[in-house]
Amino acid sequence: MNDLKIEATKYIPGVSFDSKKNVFDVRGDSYPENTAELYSPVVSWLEKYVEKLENGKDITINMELEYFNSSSSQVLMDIFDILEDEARNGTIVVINWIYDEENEIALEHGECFQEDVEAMTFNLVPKQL
Amino acid sequence: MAIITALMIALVAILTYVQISSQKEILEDALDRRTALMRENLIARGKAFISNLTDQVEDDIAGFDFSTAAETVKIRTRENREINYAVLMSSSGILLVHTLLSDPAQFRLTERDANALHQKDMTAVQYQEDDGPVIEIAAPIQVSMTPWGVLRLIYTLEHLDKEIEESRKQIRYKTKRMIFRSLLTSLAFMIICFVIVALLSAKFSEPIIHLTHVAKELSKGDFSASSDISIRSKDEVGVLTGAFIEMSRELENSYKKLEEYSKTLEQKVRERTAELHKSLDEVSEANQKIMASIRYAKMIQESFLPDMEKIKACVPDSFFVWKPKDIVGGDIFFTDVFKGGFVIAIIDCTGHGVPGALMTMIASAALKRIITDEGCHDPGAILKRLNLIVKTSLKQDTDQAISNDGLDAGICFVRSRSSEPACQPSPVVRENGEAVMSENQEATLSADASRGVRENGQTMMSESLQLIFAGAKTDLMIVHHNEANTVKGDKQSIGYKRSDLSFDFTNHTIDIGKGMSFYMTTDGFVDQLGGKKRFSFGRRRLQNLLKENAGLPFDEQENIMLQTFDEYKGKNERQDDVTVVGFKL
Repeated sequence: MNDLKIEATKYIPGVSFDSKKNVFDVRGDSYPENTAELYSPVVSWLEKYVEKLENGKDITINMELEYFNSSSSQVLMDIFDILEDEARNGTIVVINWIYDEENEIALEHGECFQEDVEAMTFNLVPKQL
Repeated sequence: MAIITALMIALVAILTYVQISSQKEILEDALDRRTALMRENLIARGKAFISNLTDQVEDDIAGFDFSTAAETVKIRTRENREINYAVLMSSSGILLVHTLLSDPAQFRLTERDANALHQKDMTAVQYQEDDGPVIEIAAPIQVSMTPWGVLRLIYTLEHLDKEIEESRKQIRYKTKRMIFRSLLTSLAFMIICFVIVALLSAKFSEPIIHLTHVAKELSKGDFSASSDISIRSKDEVGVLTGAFIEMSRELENSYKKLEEYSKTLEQKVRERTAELHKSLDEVSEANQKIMASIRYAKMIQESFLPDMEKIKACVPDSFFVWKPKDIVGGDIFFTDVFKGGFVIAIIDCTGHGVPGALMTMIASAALKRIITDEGCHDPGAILKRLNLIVKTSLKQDTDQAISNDGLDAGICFVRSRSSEPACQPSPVVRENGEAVMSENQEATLSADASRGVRENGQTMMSESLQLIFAGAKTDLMIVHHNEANTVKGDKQSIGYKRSDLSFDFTNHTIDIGKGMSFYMTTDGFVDQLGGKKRFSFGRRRLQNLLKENAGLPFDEQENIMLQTFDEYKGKNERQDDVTVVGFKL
């Protein structure tokens, strides 16, 4: 299975994955023209990844998204659904939603996602200055 | 050439100097020897003379004839021009004769005179007198084997000096002649050298000068110049000329090749440029077609916008901002005025541009069908119906769904308090203080309400008006008495694969008070990135903006909102379409 590595651009966030620690880092803005086309390989990759995940391994995702459009928000929900299922199966999944305290919209989105998840741990993490 | 000449002149000068100085040394040596010889001759002559004179004087003195002796000395010495003067003294220091002194009494005995008195042999001494060098020859006078005195003859060296001077003059003359001869020889030698050097340099430098000239011509690109060169000798110059001819031929070949390459390259560049121009023309033509197509689409989309005159006639205090990010957009608003009230809706479809615009077509058409055709005015029910229509239109209710698109919407329905919303009942939540405003405020608002809404030519009094709001991820903002409050819509979008067809959207009912202003925006406004940290505009900033300006006329409010938005955005690009609706009853 190939490692997941996406370079950030103006329209998509950078994604890096540390396969040893099972830590993902997602950082940037997300407002591409064709969100579904762009992110479907990422979603497929994640589905395969959780399928092959060894028992007893944890997943940590550090997310720092300052702006994303509504279709990106749909993709995020799809991703959280996959992870939520995995968490229900006993994997410890931690999402750290990193936001700047001055950015109320980023916090608002984080709170919104936090409400929707149950099995996984969703932390709202103010950014350390 | 100049260096060679200078070196030659220096060499000749040094040689001449060495030759002349050695010659001069030899001549001066000879002169010194001659001077010594002359001096010895003088002494020899003096000695012969003095011994002869001494004999005569001794005879006279032996006969006590002192005057004769004195006279003899005087006469004999006067005859000899070499003798400056003569002195005859007795051993006791008595002067008998001093040829220079007329009166012997003037004589004073000097140290030299005293020393001479005791002399036993004939001596010759040279010393310096006031008027030049002299040689003194002294001989003792003996009478009957007894020393009587001394005779001294002082010879002047004047004549000798004259001769020496004469010789020196001769030496100088000889030296001058020698210098002259040397100069002449050197000159002749130098002329010969010049001629030889000139001939030699002409032989070597002429071909090199010619080569230099040809090289200059070559550098100007005239390769024909090298044909003038010919190899005239087999020496280094000949070899150089050969190499030069070879080089110029190779240079000419590479130059020709380069010229050819350059021509080919130019040709290629022209071809590629033409191709590029063609592609550019094609791209620009395609772009023009696309743009024309989109502009046409804009006309269609704009035709879907509500009849502004109709809604303005009903709600004069209002503004409607509709600013697609591109020519067409995914935002739209909808109004419908009917008997018993009116509906204002804003819709934010996923995406922007053409795909967004296509979605707005579905949404607008659906709203028209639900509200205008089916007469359904209940906002919650409208959203539920809208969800069904969007999902079924895009086949999102099936497993083969391709589209995962949808929309957010906010719907306001204003009606007279007495009438009930048409359509199937949807749960109506009264805003009992906790959600939007206090009971007290509501009571005050109702009591103060005096303004009316024109509806089909009749006035609806605002004191009897109610606003029912339902939102799908869209909020309603109310500003009243300098307080801004938000009525949150449901966190449920319309459309998308994941939305729930059976979801019931919440109706929020607000009794409209006097001066109460209502605002709805799509997320393009609050999400816009800008400011110092490039963060979203945010709801708090929007609320403050609305609160500050709610008292102003609505066209002014519209301008201030757009200006504030642009200032916040700064140089950042617009991310999304923006729709803002504001109204007061």
